[in-house]
Amino acid sequence: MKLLSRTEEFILLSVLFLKDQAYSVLIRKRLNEVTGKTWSYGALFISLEQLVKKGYLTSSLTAPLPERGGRSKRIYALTPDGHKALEEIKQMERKMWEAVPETDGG
Amino acid sequence: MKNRSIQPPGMAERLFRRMFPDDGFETTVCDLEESFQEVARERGLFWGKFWYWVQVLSALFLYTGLEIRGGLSMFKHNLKITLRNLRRNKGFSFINIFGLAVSFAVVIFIVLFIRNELSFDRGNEHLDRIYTVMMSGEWKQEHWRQQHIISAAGLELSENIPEIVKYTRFSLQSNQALQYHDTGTGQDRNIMIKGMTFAWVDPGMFEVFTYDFKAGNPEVVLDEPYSIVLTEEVAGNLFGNEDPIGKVVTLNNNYELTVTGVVKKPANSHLDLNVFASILTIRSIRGPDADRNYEYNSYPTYVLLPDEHDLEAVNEKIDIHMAAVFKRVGRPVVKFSLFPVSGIYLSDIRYQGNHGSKTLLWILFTIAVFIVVIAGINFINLSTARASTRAREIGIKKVIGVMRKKLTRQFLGESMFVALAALGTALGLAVLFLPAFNKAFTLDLSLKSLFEPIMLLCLVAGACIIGILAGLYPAVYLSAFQPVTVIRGDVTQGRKGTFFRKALIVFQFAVSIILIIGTLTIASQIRFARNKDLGFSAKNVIIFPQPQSGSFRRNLNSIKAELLRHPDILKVSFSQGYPGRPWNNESIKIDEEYISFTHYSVDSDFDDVYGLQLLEGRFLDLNRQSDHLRAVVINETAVREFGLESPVGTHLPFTSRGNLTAFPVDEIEIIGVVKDFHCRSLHQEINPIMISYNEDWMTHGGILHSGENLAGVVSYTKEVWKRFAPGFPFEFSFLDQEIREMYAKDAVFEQVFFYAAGFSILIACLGLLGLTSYVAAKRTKEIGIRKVLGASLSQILILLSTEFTAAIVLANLIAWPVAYYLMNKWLANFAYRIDLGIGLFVLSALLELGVALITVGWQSLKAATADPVKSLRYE
Repeated sequence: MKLLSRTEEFILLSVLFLKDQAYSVLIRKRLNEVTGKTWSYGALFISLEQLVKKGYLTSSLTAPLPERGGRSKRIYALTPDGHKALEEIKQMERKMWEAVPETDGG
Repeated sequence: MKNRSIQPPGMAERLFRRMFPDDGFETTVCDLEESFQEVARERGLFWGKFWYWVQVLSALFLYTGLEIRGGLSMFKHNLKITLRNLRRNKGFSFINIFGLAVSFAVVIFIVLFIRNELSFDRGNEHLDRIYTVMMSGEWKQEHWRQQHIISAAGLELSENIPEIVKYTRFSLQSNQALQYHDTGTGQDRNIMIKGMTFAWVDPGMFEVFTYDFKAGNPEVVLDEPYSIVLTEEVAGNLFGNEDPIGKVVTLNNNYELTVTGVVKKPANSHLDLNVFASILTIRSIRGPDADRNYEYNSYPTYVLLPDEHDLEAVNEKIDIHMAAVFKRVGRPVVKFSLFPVSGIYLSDIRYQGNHGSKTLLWILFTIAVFIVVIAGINFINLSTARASTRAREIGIKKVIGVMRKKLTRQFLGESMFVALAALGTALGLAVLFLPAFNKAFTLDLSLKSLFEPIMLLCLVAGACIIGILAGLYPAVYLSAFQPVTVIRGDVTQGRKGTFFRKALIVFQFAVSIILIIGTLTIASQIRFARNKDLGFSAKNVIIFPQPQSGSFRRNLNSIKAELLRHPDILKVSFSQGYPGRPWNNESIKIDEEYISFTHYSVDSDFDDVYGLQLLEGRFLDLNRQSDHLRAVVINETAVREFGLESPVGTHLPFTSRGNLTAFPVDEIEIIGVVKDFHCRSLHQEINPIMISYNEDWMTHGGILHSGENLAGVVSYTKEVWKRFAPGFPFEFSFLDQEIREMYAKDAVFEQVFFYAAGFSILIACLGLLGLTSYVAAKRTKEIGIRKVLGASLSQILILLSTEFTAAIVLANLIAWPVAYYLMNKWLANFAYRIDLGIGLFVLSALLELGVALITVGWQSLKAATADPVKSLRYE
């Protein structure tokens, strides 16, 4: 299986963090907070679409919301494959880190 | 939507929605808007909108990047399939690509030629400000317009019309001799400036027209009398490698002129001039008013207007002023107006210099279009006819879920690929055949203009468009297949497809038949013109221009006597102009009506040298003093037009134009009548001619020789010439050759049609070859069964070729009336012409049929002679 890219990893983690509130506005906010950079919606939507296509995410529509003019939100959630991919990358990173002697942190 | 006043920019929103439609739920757009509302609340609406746009544009950037990457992989796939198909069907690919390539090469040549023609005079810096002054009026209900005007006009206009910034007039001279005495070697160098390429011009010449000066200052070169500017070629001939500036040359053994400048002769200019001499020279020789004449229309005049000018207003001023001038000198008023030099080359007005032909350009353009269409039809026919070979691919793709739109695009891409491959081949062909093309049409086109970026871009764009146009029908046709029927292997094509194909074939052949008829018509008209009895004899006649020097003129009789001492020189005559090249036009008032006629000043041997046939009376006899000047011999047409019952002995009053004409008499006496002869080309009708004697106006000599010893005659004449015209080079031509050259322009048409017809047949037959070979292959089984059942070879041949023969017969029916109409229009150019007989048409039809039957027959024969056992076993 292909390894997750850092962007994908962060998006998946944000979805995981947001639980049932994971829609694009909050995902982007979370990413901005953690990385300190401004993410563009274009990049985000493209990545989300691809993650859905790869089977790491599923999406569902909420009931129509009055504050959105009667339109829904698309909520994302991790699939088992998504969980597995995240777990895998985490393991790998840990292994990589463990193999090197303590860093001085600067 | 909480706050309706805070709206994202509409266009950006639409764009974003297109990129991320989210299956129509629009959650993406809503999400973006939510963030936008927040930004707008915090930082204001302007920044909010700005933010929105940045988001949408960056998304667009990423999105298109993805699309292109996706498209690229599709492109690679399609390219692979295209190449595979081309390779699998080498024969058909060859027909498609080669046919298109030949047509593109033809188009490339035509485009090069048209571009060259359109580039005339573009070298002039102020082209859009240069005008020539035209005089016009009505004569016998017909509008006339001429460029030769009185010499005073240029002066009057420049003195009185402030808009005229600069001006120049031309006094054009033919056959001027220039001599340079090289003091270093003590040798003389002589050259003759032939044709009308010597001009006396005003000092403003090089400020009106832009010339590339190799030496000298264009603004002052002609400011002094006796100054002269030469083209590089003339300077090289006179001075070799020496510096020409400041050198003194002698004009016609008479005047000494100083070279003040050397120019490069522009490649594409309507002016054809080699020597420019200051017009002030004429003033200093013949007096201050020598170039201010109000009577003779002999000076083409050009003016330069300011950057910003109102042509209408200037025209009005010119017309008003010239009307006043004409009234003042007591002449009937005619109209004066300006004609732009930028359009003069391709216009139909008459002027001295190089002429282009708009008709030729249109004919070439039409031919280019038709040849490409013929090649395009091959492509359409072969792709649709052979659709079944692609049927499986299309079926499978459709089953997998490829949309029809994508399939259409794939086929269009394929045809574009073929067109581009053809363009590449065509460029190769163009490079290969350019020298031959230049030679065939005596042109000097270079490849440089072909490989200019703009030109290449246009060619590539043109090829793509042709690819798309030719591919459109096949693409729609192929992509419409029903997958179920197609995969079952059942590609029965509708009758509609075959009908369409046949119609296209008929069109192809109709075009080539028209071109064949055109070629044959032009060829036979030219043959007719060359072989027609012209009323005089051009055989064994040498023509030479006579030097404009007094000593030569005084010695005409001794020269003649001297020349006649050679045994092979039979007769010698001096004249003003000669048959085929009239020099002087006059008009006579008969019954209150002016009748114009051509006038020849000749000596008494004119009729013998040129073989004129005397019908009545006698020819000029110079021993009779009364025959000088006023005795005339006229032609039959003159007898008719003047309305004479018994012409010989008739006296007619004639008002001459004074001393400046070769015909300065007030009464003429007709002493003889000659049979009509064509003194101009067959384009023009024979007009009235008067022949009289006036020694002072001779321009040419004609020598009738026995034809036995041409080299001896020429070298002997040269010797005599040297004695009587030292300092003048001897130049000569052959009359029969000159007569031929009158039809040079028509010969170019003939060649154009010949090549166009050849290429159109070649390409059309290539297509036919492709179709028949395909049909034959498809019907292999049928033929096999027929043979087994006892069909003969000829029966099978007929079976296979009937369809195409019928198409060609139909094509003939369409082509004949069109060709008849067009060729009659062309023939109307000639006053004397052939009749378009049925024979010509039948001949073209047979030619076409023959070529087509050979093409079809070859393939059919192959199919018909094949062993039925083998053909029935296949599959």
